[in-house]
Amino acid sequence: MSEVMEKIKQAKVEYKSEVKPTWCPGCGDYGVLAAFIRALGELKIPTHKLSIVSGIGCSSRFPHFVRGYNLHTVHGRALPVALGVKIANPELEVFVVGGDGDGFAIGGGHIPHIARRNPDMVYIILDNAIYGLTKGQVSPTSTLTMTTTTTPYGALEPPLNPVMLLLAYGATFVARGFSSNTKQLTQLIVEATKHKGFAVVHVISPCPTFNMEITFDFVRERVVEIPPDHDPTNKIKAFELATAQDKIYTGIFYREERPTFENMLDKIVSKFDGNIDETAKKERLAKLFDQFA
Amino acid sequence: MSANGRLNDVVIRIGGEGGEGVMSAGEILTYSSARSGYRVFTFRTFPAEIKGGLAMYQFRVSPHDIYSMGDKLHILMAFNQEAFDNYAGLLADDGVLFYDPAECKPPENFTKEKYEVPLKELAMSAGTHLAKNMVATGFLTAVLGIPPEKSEYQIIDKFKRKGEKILEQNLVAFRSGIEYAQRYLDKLSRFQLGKPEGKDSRVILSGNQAIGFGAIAAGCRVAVGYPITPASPVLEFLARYLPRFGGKVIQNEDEISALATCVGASYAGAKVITPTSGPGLALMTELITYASMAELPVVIVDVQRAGPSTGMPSKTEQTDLYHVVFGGPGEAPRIVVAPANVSDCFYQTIRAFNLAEEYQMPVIILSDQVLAYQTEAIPKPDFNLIQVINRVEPDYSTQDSYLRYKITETGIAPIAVPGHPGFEYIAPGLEHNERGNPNYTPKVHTQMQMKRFRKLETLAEKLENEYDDYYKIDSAKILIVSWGSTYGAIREAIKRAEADGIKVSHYHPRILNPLPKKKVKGIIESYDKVIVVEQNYHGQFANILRIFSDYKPIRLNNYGGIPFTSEEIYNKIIEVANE
Repeated sequence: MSEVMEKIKQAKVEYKSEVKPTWCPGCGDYGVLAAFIRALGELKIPTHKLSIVSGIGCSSRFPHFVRGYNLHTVHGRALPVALGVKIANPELEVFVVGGDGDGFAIGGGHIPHIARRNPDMVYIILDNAIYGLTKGQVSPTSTLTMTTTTTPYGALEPPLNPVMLLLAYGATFVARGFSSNTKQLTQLIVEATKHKGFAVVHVISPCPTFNMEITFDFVRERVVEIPPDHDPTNKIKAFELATAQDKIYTGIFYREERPTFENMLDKIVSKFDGNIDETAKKERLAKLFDQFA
Repeated sequence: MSANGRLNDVVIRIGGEGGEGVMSAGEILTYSSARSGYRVFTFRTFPAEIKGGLAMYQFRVSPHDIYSMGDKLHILMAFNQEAFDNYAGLLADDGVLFYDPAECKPPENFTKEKYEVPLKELAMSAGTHLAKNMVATGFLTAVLGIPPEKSEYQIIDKFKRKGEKILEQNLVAFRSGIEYAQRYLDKLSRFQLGKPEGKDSRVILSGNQAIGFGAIAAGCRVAVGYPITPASPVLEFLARYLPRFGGKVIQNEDEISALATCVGASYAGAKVITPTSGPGLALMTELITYASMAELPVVIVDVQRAGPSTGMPSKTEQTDLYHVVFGGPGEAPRIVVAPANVSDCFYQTIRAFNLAEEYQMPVIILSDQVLAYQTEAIPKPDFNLIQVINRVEPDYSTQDSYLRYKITETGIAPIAVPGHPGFEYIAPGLEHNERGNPNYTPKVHTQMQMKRFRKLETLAEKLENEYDDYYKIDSAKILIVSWGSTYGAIREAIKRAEADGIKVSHYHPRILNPLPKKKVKGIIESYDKVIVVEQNYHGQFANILRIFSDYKPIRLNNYGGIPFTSEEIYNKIIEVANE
C-alpha cells in the first residue's frame, strides 16, 4: 500500500465515528466527508480539539459521522452556535458544516455578521441546490424555473451566488470545491483551516435523488480550476471569477488577514486584567459594589 | 404619622414631558436620599420615544424599611398640564401639589393643598430653561430635608462631563429651588424626614443591575444579547463590567443568535446568560428546547413587558409564565425562577446559574419592567454566604466509554468539557441514546423523556422542604399566592390587614417550575380562601396551581400595564374577609 493510502486509512480509523452516514447512495456529501477526514489527518488535529457544528439538513448530519466535541443543533443557527464555542474556548478547531438551505435560506441572516466578526473557524457549505431531507423542495441556489415539489410550475426566483455574497460580506477566505474532486477539496479544507479568520469553502455537492438539473455531469462539464496566476488578494478579480457565466471556478478566490473576533474579545479582557483568580475576583466584585454604595 | 407630625414615609411623583429631565431629577433625589441612609423604592415609566410624551418618576422614601412603591401620592411635582391631568387624581387627601404656573393651571375645583414653583422662571434666571428639573430637585431636597450636599454631589457627578458652564447653571438652578422652598417650609414640615434607621452598609441598585451583579458573582463568562426594552440595561451593565471578571460580551444580530452563541459557549464549558423580553423570548424558544434536549446549562432573563406582540414596551405585565413553562416544540423541561425584589434579583440570578449547572438545562429568570427599573438601597451582599455551583464533570482518568446521556437515578449525568481526550460526544437535537447518537425507537424516546423530566422531579423533591417562601400565620383563613414583583405591595397590604385584625398568610415561590407537589397542595388546602394575585388576564399561575390542587382561586388580576398598589390588594383582602 502506498504511503498516501496508508495515511488515508489511518485518518479514517482516527476520525470516523461509530455512526454510519445516512446519505443516499451516490450523494456528493460522501466525497466531502472523505476530503474532510483526509484534511484532518493532514492537519493532525486531535479529536478532543475538534468541534464540528451543524444545523439541520442532509449535510448537517455530518458531525454525527466524525469524532469530536460536536453539536448538531437547530435549523439555520450553526454559525452563531459555533461562534459561542470559539469564544468560550479559542483552543478548539471549530468547523461549521451545512447545506444551502440551512445557510442561505433560514440561516442567511447570520452569515454577514459572522463574516464581519471574523472568528477563526471554517464554514463548509455543501450546496446541492435542493432540499433533500424534506424530499425535493426548491432552495435559494436552485436554478430559475427549476421544477420541484413546491415549484411545480417552475421556480420564480433566480438563484443567489454564494461566493459573491461571501466576498461582499467580508469573509476573509473564500474558496470553492467540487465533491467529486476529493484531492483538490482536501487541500482547500487544509488551507481554509490554516487561515486565521472566517474561512468559507463552498462545495458543489450534487444530489442524485432530488436534483435532476444540477447533476454530477452538469457540474463536471462546467468546473474549471481558477487560473494559477489569480492573485487571491484582489477582491475585484475574485468577484469577476465568481460571476463567470457557464463556468464554475474552483480553488481559492480570496484571502486577507484581519484580527479575529476571539482575539479582540480577549484584548478587552486583558485591558481590564480580567483573567485573575477567584479570590481576586471576589475582592474586585466587592469594590465594584462600593461604586454603587 | 409619628408624634412629631412627620409622615416619615413619603411618596413623591415627578411628571413632565419626556426629555425635560424628570428621570434625572428623580434619580438624583433617589441617590441622595439613599446615600443619606434613607430607604428608597422607585417606579418609573417612560414614553416609548426618546423625547416627547409623558414621563414619570415615582419614589418613596422613608427612614424605615419599605417594600413597595407605595400607594397614594403625598407629593406631585407637575412640570406641565399633562402631568397634572394624569396624576392629580392619585394624590392623597392630605397630599400636596407643586406646579409650574408657566405650564400648568390647576382647575378651580382642585381643592387639595397646592403651591406654585416657578420652575421655568428660576431656570431661566440660572441661565437655561433646561435646568427646570434641577430647580425641582433643589425644591424637593429642601421639602424632604435631604442634606443638600448629597444632592449637589449627584449633580456634580452627572454634569461634570458637560463642561463648567452647564454644571454651574445647574447648580445655581438647584440652589434657587432650595431657596424658593423656604417660603413654604412652615406649612410643609410633615414631609421632613426623620433620622434614618441603623446605617448598615447598603448599595443602591435597580433590578436590572442586580441581575448583572448576580451573573458576575455566579461566575458568568459569556453574555450575548440583542437590544430590547426593558432588558437592554442588563446587557449594557455586563458589557461594561464583565470583561473585568474575564467575561466576554457580544451584541448579536438577533435573539435567536444570542441564545445560539450562549448554547455554543455553554457546550465549550462557559457559564452563559442572555437577557431579553417577551418578543425576544419568542424567537429563542426553539433553541430553549434544544438546550433542554442536549442538556446544556443556559440562563435566560426575560424582563417581561406588556404584550401581546409589541404591546406596550415600557409598561409592565406578568404574562410570559405559560410561555416559559410550556412553550416550544415538544415537551422540554426547564426551570423558571422569579425574583421578588431588587435583592432577590441578585440572589436568584446566582441561584439560576447554580440550577442551570446542576440540572443541565435552561433556566429562565422572570423579571418585569417594574422590577427592571425599581431602585432600592439593599444591604451589601456578603460574599462568604454565596455558594457557587459548577457542573459535574466526568472522571477523565477512567477508560470506560463515555455515556454523556447516561440514565441515572436523578436524571443527571456528568457533562464533559471539550478538550479532554476520549470524552468526545455530540450535543444532539435529535432523540438519542445514552451515548448521544440518534435513536428513534419508542423505548429510547420514552426512557429519555423520563430521564430529562426526572431532573425536574429531583429538584421538585428538594423544594418540598424549603419553606422560606411561605409566610405562615397561625389560624389565618386567607392565603395570598403570588409571584415576581408583586411581592412588596402584597406584604404591605397584609401588614395593614393584620393591624385591622385580619390574618393573612402569603406563599410567594421563587421557583415557579418545577413546583413541589405535596407542599403546594398542603399550603393551598390549609385555607378557606386563596387569593391569587397576578398581572395578567388568564390567571396563569392560578391555573398552573390547579395541576396540584382542585382548589377555587379568588383571582385578583390587573393587566393595564402598571403595577398593583398595596391599597388594591388590601381592599381585596377586606372584601374576601367580609364575604
